[in-house]
Amino acid sequence: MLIIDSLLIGGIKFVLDKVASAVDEEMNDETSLREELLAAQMRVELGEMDEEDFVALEREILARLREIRDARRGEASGAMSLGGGFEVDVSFRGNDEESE
Amino acid sequence: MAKAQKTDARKKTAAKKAGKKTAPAAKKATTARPAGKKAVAKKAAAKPAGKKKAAPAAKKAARKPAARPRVRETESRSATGPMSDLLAFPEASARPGGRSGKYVYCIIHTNEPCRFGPIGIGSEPAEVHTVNYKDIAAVVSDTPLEVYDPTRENVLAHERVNEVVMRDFTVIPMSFSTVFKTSEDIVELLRSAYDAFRDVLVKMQDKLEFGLKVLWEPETIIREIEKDDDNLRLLRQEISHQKGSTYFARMQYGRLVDSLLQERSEKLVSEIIDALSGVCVASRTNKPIGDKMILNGAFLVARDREPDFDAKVKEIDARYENLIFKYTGPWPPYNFVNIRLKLERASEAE
Repeated sequence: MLIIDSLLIGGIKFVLDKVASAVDEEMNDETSLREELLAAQMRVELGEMDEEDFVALEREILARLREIRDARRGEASGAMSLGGGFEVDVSFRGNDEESE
Repeated sequence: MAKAQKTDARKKTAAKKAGKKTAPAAKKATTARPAGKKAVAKKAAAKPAGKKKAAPAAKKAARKPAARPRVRETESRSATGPMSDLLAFPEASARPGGRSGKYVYCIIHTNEPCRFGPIGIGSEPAEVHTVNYKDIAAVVSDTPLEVYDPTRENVLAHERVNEVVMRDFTVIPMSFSTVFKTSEDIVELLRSAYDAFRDVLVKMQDKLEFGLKVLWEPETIIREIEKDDDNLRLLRQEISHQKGSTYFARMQYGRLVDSLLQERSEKLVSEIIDALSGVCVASRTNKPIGDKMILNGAFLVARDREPDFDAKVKEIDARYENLIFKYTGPWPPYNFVNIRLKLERASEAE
């Protein structure tokens, strides 16, 4: 599974203004959990982890991700509504050194 | 022997069909899958692959990164598979409120409303259609107001839609689990960033993203480095001959190894990126995954340069004996579009 990283880490980033600081810490946890999941997928791909172990680990990580999300529910997660005002910025980004 | 290999769009499609069809009988489907075939041929037979079929085998076969095939495989561990109770997201269908949200997959350029079939994310795949504004549109499906877990199944469902749409359109992909409450929200998004979406769509026209991950076995590389580096070799000899505590020498050795590995990794990565820079429009590097990866790269390639890019990857692959290349694509340009959406007021989940 080589796609999750692009899907989750690359591309679109949502910045949620109001909750940013409160959520920061959880976000970090979330990021590291996702990285852990990716690393496990990589190990499966390399034949270093079998499917069963992966599924068990995946279940555990997803449960923890869900906990984090639930704790945040009503804030940053879930369906978005633009009714309260928003800013959006869409851009092409090229080589690493040219952006950010 | 070329280690790198990717599947092209046609193969992908074929593989997908096969994958779908064989889903229930996944256990033995291993060798029947077109795209996975090459990668899997060597070891598939030896591996009791279970319902994942060729996946672990393909991975073991290792140097053959047919990542797309792997994608297929996970796909075929479908909702009906025995694993589904662990992975599916039962809440998605069980939630009250029905399908009142809109899951967004990507943005495209079109003057017409389009339909892409009942291939949406979720346990009961909803019709994928567009929400249009002027000549751009969001590709969406109705969904419960839910956050989707990044299970392989869900991620693949998201990706599958983008693959289908990509056959006919240039896409600006949205990240996984982007859900808006209503069509009006989406129209509002399209309206307010209309020029930017148009601009990015033009820039992405006829361009594809490819992934290239490069891995090594640190042990092998250390041995290689030892051959060239006298200091390292001496230190090692010292450790093996020394009586009493070798703590200090070992520390020194460890540090030296780390820095030499780092140096070597940086050198290889820049060589590889340089070699590809002539055949791609842009490249980006993501954080490597795990401790064996030295490059986690994304490359934006013009459609008509794809064969050149391909050839270059194969050439590089052949040049570096001790590196493992995992080459995937084509993908929507996830790594080359930046969308920041800043909500003034936090939105709630339901």
